[in-house]
Amino acid sequence: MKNRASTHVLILLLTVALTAIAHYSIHYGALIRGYETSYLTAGRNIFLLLLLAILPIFLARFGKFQGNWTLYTSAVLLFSIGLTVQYRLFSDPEYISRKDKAEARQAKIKTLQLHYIQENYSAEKKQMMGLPATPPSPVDLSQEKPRPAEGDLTDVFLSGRTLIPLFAIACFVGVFVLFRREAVLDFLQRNGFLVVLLTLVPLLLAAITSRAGKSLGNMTPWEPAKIPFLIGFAALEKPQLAIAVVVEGGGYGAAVSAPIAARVILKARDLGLLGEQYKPKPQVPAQIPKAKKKK
Amino acid sequence: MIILLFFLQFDWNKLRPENLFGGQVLERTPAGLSIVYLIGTAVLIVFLLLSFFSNFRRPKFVFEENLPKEVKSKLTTTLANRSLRVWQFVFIFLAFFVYGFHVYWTYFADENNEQFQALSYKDLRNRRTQAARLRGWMLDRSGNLGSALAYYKLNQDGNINRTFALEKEMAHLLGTERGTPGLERTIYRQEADATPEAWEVLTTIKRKEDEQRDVRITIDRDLQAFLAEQLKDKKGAIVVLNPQTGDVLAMYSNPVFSLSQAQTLEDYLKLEGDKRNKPLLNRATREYYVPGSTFKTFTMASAFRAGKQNTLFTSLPEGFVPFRGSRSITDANGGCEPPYGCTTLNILQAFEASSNQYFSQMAVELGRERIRETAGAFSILAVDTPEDALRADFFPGIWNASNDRISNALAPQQSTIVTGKDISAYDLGLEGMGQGYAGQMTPFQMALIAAAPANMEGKLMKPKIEMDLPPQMFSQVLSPPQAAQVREIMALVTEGGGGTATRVFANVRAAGIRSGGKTGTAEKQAPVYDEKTGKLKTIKKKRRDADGNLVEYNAPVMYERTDSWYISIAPLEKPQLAIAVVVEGGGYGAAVSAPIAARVILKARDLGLLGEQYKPKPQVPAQIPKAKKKK
Repeated sequence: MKNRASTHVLILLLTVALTAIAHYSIHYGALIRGYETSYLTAGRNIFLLLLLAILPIFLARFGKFQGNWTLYTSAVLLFSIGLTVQYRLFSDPEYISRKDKAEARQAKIKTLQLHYIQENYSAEKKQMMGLPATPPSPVDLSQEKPRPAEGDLTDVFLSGRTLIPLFAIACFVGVFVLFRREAVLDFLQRNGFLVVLLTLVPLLLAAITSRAGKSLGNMTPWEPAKIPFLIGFAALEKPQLAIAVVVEGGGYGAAVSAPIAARVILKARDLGLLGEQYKPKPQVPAQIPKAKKKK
Repeated sequence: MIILLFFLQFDWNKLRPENLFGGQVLERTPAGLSIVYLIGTAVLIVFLLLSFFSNFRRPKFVFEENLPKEVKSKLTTTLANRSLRVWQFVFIFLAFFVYGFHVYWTYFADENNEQFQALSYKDLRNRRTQAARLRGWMLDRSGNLGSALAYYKLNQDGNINRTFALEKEMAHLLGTERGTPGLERTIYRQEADATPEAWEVLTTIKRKEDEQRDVRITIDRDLQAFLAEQLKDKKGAIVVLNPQTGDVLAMYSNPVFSLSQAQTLEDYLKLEGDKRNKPLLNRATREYYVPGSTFKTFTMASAFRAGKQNTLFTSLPEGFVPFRGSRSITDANGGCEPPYGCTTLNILQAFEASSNQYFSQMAVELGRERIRETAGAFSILAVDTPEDALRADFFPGIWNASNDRISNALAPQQSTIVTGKDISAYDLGLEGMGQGYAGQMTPFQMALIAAAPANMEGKLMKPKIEMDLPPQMFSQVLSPPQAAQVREIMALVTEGGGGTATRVFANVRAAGIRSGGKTGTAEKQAPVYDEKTGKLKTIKKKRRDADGNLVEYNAPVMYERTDSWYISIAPLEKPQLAIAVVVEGGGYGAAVSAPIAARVILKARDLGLLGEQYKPKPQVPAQIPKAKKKK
């Protein structure tokens, strides 16, 4: 399997298909529990992933990018899992409602109980319960009246959960395009330290406004996973570049943003932005590996 | 074109999950889809790892393709390039670390992490699946849905609620959702794994649903309701067993509570705090009473076991004096019991007249060892000292139940009798007539004492509550002919000229039912409660503490409560009922408890529990009710 853009596009399309299956699974599970999930949100999620899936085609064709796509694909894969989990949680009335959680739970319990009764109770038992006396039969979900999903077209497409990923994708493309311009590279090279300081601003904002995991003692078990996002900056021993990558809704720092940052660093290295000593030079003689081989 | 036709013709409903996985809608059906998704994700991750490692040794550069082949082969990573590669690797590693964390917390922690399990009750999803699982219905011994004891009903507010036909009458048997469990929390078979794993859903065509899980218990709904009626406004308990099989036909204890009353914690605590009435206490199985004369049945059974049933004893006006200088034991009237008076009695006369003197002498004659041995056969705990008797525990072993949880839930407080060598002949004599150290008997135990001779083979059957269990023997108390003899002697109480319950049972005899029984009247020290406040009445008393100082303390005011007892077996030819009735403070056994037992027997006859031949024939023509309706 060659590491070509087309291969990765194939994998990404496969990811999209799997995510679609996962969304259907969530939708169906919701019907069993008596509520409907939003088709619009599902469509939005698939659309975002499709956008990311076909982006490599354009970047490779028009952006002349010939590097490694593995990190990008990994990031999109993790993003798709994040979207799936998000879809499951945010379509659940019990999870999203602030006031009538108990009521939503009760509604779910009742639906499940009715399904059980429909499938297992005899007609006589149903009649005694005060239900229509029908013989036990499998539940036909298409005949049910699930609780409708909330949110219309504008709600879904103007929410932060749509706009922020779109913004992040645009930023990603923008950064890619910008970094190929000589003037931008020059400017970054000259004011590297300032850019690093500027990067800290969104980071601090995120740290201040973040609701989860204020301190080590207060962390959820997966919260330490955010640490590599910070480590990403420490990687620059003599910072020439500072990169801010924010993919909101993308999940954890390590999952989406950090790999993008790493990719940008690599790209910058290839472009000679990190200084001469990082530039890959074909000057090392081939003797040493050869000697090893002889052993 | 063919593909298009295929797409049009294809029945897409075949791909619906309920058709793919199991053919039924289950909460976990979409888990099958999740598995497809997870497998796909795993494949993708493997692809990505392969692609990553294939590039790991040497990065490919943008300019690489334009280089000549010799130069290309000499290309290698510099130190800096390699360090960047390492960082790249670290990021990937951390990404999988995150993924692994999710997998751990969603799947493995459930089984392996104790802390996670301890907190799992906080997971609302668990509570939801728990609440969504419906219990079976509880049917009475008839097995008709119409006489279900516990079932589900659609309420007016649209919720499905557990409903109890006899929510007051059966409260002690069914038990609440908090506190000591009853049948409700123990009798339904609980599956080892309630939610199937996803792959089980995937691999099974139709998951086996545990069938209905309805249970049929031995309680007769109408009889149970009838018992509750009989004890209205009285404190006491009634136990009705079938002595041939051990079926518990009905068991009721008053005061009682209503199950719907005990649903919230506040209400439950209120019930628990009511020390005066103790509504939560099942008096039938867990309250000690002094059995009084009913215990003479035990002494008689013991005499038969020892072969001493033909011994004659003489009643004296001054009473029986077990040893020189001892207090004397007289009959209830202070001298000798009528109608035989102070004369030499055989066991038949003594039992009919309820002679204290005879059975005290019999107990002394039998001795400690025989009493102890008979007690064991009747499931009574024989202890050495009175202090040991206070340490008696529940006795689940008496139940014939399909699992321990049921027998633990219904376990009676074990009745005790003291048979150690430290107790005097006087004490032993008192035990023979159901007083003194034999004073810790539960109504349930007294029903068992009646049930053993009532069994056609003289066996004590283990009581059972589940209808479909085969009968089990607890012990062979008497031989079949002995049991028949004991039954005939017990019949004297209701049929003999001097029988203590002869008058009360006139209507039972008139119905053609022969029955046997024994009355009992027993005094017990009971605390006095204030009529208005319901609090314990106390009186200030003084005593010397360990240092010899006088200290004041509050002692409860006690009064002598006369409990009324009756144990009964019916019909005598082949007893189908063994009944024990106790009414706290009821007075004479013949006055209160015996009429209740008589009514229970007649009611059981009406319900057909005594067998077909006793059933009253509907000789009244149907015209009369119709005429009434017209009016």
